[in-house]
Amino acid sequence: MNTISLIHKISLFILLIICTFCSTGQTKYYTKTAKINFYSQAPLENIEAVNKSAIAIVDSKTGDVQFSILVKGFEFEKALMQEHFNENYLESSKYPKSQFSGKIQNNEVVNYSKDGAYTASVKGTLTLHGVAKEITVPGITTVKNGVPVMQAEFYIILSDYNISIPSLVKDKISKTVRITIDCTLSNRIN
Amino acid sequence: MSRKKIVLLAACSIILVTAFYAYKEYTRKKPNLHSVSSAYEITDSMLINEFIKNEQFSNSKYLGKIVSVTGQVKQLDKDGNTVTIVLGSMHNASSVKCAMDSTEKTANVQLSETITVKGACIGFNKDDLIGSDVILNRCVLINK
Repeated sequence: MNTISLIHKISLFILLIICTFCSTGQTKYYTKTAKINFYSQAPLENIEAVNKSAIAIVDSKTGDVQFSILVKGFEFEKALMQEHFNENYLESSKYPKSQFSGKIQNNEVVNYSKDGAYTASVKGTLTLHGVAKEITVPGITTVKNGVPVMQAEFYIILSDYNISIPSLVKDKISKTVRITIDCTLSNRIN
Repeated sequence: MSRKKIVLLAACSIILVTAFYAYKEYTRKKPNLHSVSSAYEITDSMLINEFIKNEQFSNSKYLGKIVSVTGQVKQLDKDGNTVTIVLGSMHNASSVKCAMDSTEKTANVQLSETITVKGACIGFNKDDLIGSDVILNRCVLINK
């Protein structure tokens, strides 16, 4: 009887240690001011916009990466471009958010507690204009003074996300768009 | 004047006016929000609560609209030339994040003072872990 309760106590103790160990290893880094840049080359004029209020969360243990962005937050220099972007192309009143949820493919090589630069590709699902599609994004994670910085550049094809270009300007607008991501994950949750 | 001439003159002026209008429209800049009146005037906590209660309805009500929000300055962020004023209560993780217009002077804004900010509402970022935020862009300070 006594031995059993002792075993119980010991196993409970071990479980406790494991739990503490797990929770300390599960640091999440995040920012609410991730920068996402949108660039499209056009013969008449390049189309460019930036969104500075994207949310990015990275789990250092599992390598889970999450981005969330408000489509109306893209600021263009020209008012007309911004209106067309929101009303005709992205339909941001109908689809106000775009999200990406994925995993760092080689998370085990990234040491979040040591300064350094790592190439880290992220595979996941991008939801844009109501369409979800699996993509792989090559990126770089740089750790500096304990703060991870993630940068990436990739291209998306507009038709993949059911974003149609009016036939009148079909030849004047690129079918692919370059997306650049720059986020300093300066906040952390343990 | 012959009829032909009048028609020609009319056609020319129509083309000119159209071209001028098209050019103006194409190069149009977004107005500084000082010159735009707000569609809604509300406090930070009320705005956040509306979005928490019913995000879809609030999206249709506020998205793209100019909103004046009054609240306490919880945080001041500066990143390059972008200043973000965070309005909200210290006891609540949720806030209204106001990305200030690049031409706006924000040097006088103090932490924990109550101010009114006018901006274009771009939406609501819901997150239970890190706190939910209503985001305003191109913000200007009023009654300061």
